[in-house]
Amino acid sequence: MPFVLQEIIKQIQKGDKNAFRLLVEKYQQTAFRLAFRMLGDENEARDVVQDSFIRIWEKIDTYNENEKFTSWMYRIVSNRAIDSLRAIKRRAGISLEKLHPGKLETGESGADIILENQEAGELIRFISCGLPEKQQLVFSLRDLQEFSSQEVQEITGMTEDAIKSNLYHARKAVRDRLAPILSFERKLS
Amino acid sequence: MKCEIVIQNIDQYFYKGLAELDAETRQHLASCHDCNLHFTNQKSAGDVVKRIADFEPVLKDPADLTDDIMNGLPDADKAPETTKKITPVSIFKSIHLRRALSAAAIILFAVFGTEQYLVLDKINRLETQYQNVPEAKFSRKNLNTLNSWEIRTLRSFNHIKTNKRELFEKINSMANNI
Repeated sequence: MPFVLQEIIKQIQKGDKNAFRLLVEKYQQTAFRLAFRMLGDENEARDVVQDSFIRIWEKIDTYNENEKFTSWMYRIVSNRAIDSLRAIKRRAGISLEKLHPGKLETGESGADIILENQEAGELIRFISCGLPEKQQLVFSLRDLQEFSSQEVQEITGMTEDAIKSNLYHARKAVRDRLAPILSFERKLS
Repeated sequence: MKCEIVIQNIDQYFYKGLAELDAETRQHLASCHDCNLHFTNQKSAGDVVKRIADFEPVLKDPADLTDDIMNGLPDADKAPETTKKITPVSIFKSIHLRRALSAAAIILFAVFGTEQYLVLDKINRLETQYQNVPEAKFSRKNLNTLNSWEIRTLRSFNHIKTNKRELFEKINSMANNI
């Protein structure tokens, strides 16, 4: 069966679970990437993806076909991820000691280092630790997920100015957090 | 150029994603160690963020996640339910109707019970009062010596006294009806 999104969505709106399975198979990886980049934890990201797709199933009737499906899906996923972050409240628990030595290395020597889910997750949690929700959302979408400003507007519903302002403060906080460690590592090497 | 302004320019360059630094700032960086260190640190931090962004998180066992999602869907199908027929039996079986009837019965019992109690209590009190009133006070010539409350009580009592049997019959019939 060829995957034609609008047809699949119409089938789902009629209650077709097989069509919904096709949609899940197609988009669960995409949703997982966003959830992981916001949460920095594989299991929590899986839970968020699961909850998000159940929400999509329940709310598919409210989906407006003039809107990009992925934007609608990302909005649901990011809202769920923020709910999850609120529930966890464990940002302060990530310490420098937990970071793998050398994972912050950059340049030629660090270019060959292959990150794995756990290590990347620790880095994400470390750099986004303590960011306010909106800043974290914008930072994740813009700098980690590398969406355009227009896409971030569609997903978050924020104005361009609000996105710029939140992004500016988030970038500053992240770099201020990383800079001293990088400077220290450079002195050691 | 002052270091403060150079630092501001560097921050603008990194945080606002400016295309490039101006020539004056670049010249300053070549000669100022502290500003150059700030620039290097900011650049390195940006590189770390870029590396995280380039990392593709791997979804392990995607088929399991799909199954978990499908198993987590609500049981009820989304197709509209067939319309249920409304019959007298189904109305009677309705839990809401039964609750409403129970509530109405309790309210009626409380209202009529209280009313009956008040009527009987009043009769008892009047009978007691009647027994305590001296015979002389019933004579019409003594009515002028009574105050207004006593007159009202006496009239009320006389009314009940006159129609006592009739009143009791009415009350009994009301009680039987309840």
